Amino acid sequence: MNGHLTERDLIEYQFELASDARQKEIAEHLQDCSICREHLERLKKKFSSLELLRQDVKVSENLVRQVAEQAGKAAQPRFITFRKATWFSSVAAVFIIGLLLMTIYLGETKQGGGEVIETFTRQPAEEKLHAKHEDMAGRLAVKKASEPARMGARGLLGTAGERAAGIVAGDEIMEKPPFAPASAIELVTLPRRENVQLTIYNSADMTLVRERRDLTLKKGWNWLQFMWANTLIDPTSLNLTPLDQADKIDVKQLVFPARLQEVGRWLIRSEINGRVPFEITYFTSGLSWRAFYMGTLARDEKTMRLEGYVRVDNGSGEDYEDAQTRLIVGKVHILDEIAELARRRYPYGRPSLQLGIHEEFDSKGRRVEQIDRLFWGRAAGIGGRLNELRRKEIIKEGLSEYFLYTIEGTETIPDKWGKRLLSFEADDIPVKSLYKYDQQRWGDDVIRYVAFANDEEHKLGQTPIPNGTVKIYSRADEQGYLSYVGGTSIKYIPVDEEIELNLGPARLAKVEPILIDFTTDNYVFDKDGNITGWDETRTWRIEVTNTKTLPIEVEITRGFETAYWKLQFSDTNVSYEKHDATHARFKLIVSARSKCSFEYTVTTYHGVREEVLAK
Amino acid sequence: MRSKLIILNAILVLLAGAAVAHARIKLVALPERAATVIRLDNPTATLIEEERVLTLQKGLNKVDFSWKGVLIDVDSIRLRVLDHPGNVTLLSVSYPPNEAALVWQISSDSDYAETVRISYLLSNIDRLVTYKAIADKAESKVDLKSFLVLRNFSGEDFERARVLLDYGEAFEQGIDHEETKQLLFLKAGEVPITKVWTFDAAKLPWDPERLEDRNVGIPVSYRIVNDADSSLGRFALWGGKARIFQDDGHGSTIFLGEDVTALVPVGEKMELYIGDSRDIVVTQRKMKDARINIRKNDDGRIVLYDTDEEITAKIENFKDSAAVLTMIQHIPGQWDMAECNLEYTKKNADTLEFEITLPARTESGPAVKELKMHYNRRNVKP
Repeated sequence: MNGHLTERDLIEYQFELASDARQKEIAEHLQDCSICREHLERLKKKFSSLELLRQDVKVSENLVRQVAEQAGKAAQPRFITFRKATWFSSVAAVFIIGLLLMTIYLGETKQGGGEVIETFTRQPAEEKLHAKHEDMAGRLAVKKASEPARMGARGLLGTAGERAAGIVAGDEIMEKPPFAPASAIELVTLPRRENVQLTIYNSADMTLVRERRDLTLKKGWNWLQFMWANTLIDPTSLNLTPLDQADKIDVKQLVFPARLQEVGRWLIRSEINGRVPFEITYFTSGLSWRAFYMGTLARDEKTMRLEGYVRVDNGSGEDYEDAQTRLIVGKVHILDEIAELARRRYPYGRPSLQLGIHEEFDSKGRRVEQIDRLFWGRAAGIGGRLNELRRKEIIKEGLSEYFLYTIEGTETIPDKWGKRLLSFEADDIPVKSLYKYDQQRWGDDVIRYVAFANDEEHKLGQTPIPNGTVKIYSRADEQGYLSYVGGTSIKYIPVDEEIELNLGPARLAKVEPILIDFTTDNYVFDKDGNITGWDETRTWRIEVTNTKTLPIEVEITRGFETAYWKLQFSDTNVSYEKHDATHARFKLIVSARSKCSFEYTVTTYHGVREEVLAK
Repeated sequence: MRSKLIILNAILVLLAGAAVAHARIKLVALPERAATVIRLDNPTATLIEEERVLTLQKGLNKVDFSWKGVLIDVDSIRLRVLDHPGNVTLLSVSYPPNEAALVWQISSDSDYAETVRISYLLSNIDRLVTYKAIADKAESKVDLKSFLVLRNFSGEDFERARVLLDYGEAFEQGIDHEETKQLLFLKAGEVPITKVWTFDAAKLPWDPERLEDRNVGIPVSYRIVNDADSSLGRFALWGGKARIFQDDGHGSTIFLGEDVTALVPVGEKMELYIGDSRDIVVTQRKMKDARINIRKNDDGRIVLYDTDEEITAKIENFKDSAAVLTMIQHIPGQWDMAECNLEYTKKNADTLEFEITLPARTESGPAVKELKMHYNRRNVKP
């Protein structure tokens, strides 16, 4: 007798339904096989719990006929012959109902439906474990569909190996895949990762990983198992695409099996045998990049040297070796944090619960710091291609609303390490220093700005400049010593746009508005004598002091808190413009180490006096 | 072989019949499921329909239906007689106390092996739909794929069931409890898309200068029409999460963004917000805001007035490609447009929509357009 007994064998044996020869054969097998004996015991236990026969019953001939006709319509896996006396039908009922219960029971316990052997996961002999290179996020395992159980009549044709892959006689692939339950105990092959590409976003904690692996497929149905324990991978982003023979390979479905976490199984229908390159893509979190800048002003503050850097940080818990690294400049719209998706117990959550809410989290509390390196390769030295004697270039190109920075060659970024790369450098950028005063925004401080444009005239303008921090220094003396001027954040600057860097309060410039006259006039009263309108007139003197050794340009914004105002101003050395409905703006140049002032008079109209201006 | 089965089923009938006179029978007295249908056309509830053969005797029959470990909406359970609807009558349904069960009383004018269909709403089994779109480099079309995600946390394993959506062919699929399956069910290549930039003055900051080191991102969307011209239009597209990628021209892709789409009926548009453009800059300012035509009561108090308002918006395109910006402006209440230098469509009483075509930037700088809108709001009460 080959293999183990089926449950039907056992039931027939238990209720003496099999032929005498078969009864004997089964008995002999049971004597030698502890697994089958255990299974028989479980069946006996199940049957003993049934208390269904409560009274003797009789059956009409007509009903028997109808039952037979009706039952014949439904597909039944197997018919069982009764040879015993009529009274035995009661026992048979117990047996059949028991069979039904067993089906339910076995379904719950995942031991497969057909054979006792299904309690174990069998593997084809040719699948040998060779964990060549357990290096990248997630383990990928090829597991040929190896469970012949639950196959219909067509599945019984062909060799065991063909059945395993769902091949029927005549080299034809079965319409439906053979049953192959996921198991906690697996024996698998681990295909080697051929190369990896990281596309890192800075507007979100997100990296698109694209890796290539060569898989050996068998003609027929193939299961491909992907495991990502202890990583920060978003399982809903998993995607598998054949890079070759795409018309002969069909990735049918991705299954996240019950009870097994951090496992996904692709079902692949292949019309070919042999090695096929596949691309696997997914999102992960933990890698980040940012831009930052260093500016050095010339002594006359008319030009500046600007260096742009990108810094890539790896906090993912993984070492990335020889990865093509790309950075995305831009703000993508995302709905869920990748780290949150990675922590979900069930990839798509559960019904009735909102995604991302009320999810049970992994008891291991997967955090970046706690990730072990089980699936990741050896930590390589920092620096990537250190033997190269020239700086790596960053190739920049626009895509959609974003910019893609591709770092030349490949990079090795071990876990917890960061890497700084020069993005661009430009000398002698003409800059304009501007000092701004707006009491409503900054109080009494004068804010220093350095202004330039991201264009050719300013020796820039090749690509937009990503947002980041900037530190500005100035040359302090002829020897090239530096003085730190200030630091700020820089927003994204499109090509051709002007940028003003806010360097914080200026120490050597001062603006002081002095109210030198205040009058009210033109009061309007209602019939009860209450005030319903009036005018206010203020005369301001704005004193500007420049203690620097260079002349400065000062921009002064004044707000009136009403849209009903009129301004009188006659200083030709100062330019004036209406900024918006409630603000006026003045600009003037102040010579080195000097003080100057100008005056203006503003009348504001209140209450019903607003009508005066409206007219 | 057949005769043996007859006996077995006959005995089942007898068991059912026996229960009439005695304690209620158990679920096991119902024969095995003959056919199960999981109907997922309603996103809020999943309907299970299963067929079973009941063995009925002439007279009154009681059939017990009970469940354990699953959540069934009791009021949703229906029993339909398929073979002899004129001869078999469902008389009543009883609910045993403290049990997840019900008992059908069925009268039959003869002995029948009756196929019945039991329908019920089962909780914690449902489907999601997700989309994956890969745009070409020129952003003129996408390859669209849609995946059906079956989630079964109902407590019941479905070894084989026919799964029905509200469109398309039914397919056979088994799904175990706690299992999630992702299946490709829609593939459409070269679906035309329109890229849309939208500035809504009610949602976005007006003056970038006031934001210091932050940019105002102009939301960018892809618009897909669910019609035959788009290789779609066969059925409504279900709502779900969509992830959009773009071919980078180097055999790889970049991720552009993701959004959730609502149900898109045939002929309607799906709009997917992918991210923000920082290469189109809008600087909007109110240059005038005054009360005019003031009317007062006898006490001299203002009771009604009009306004005189001016808005300017400078739109700069720093992109090296042209774009069409949809600008949405809002003027509340009753209003008249005194002067407007650009054409607009009145979308509703207080919403104006401008379609502003922006050329690509040139060597001399960004392409600039300016909107000037001079309007009066009428009969405003203080």
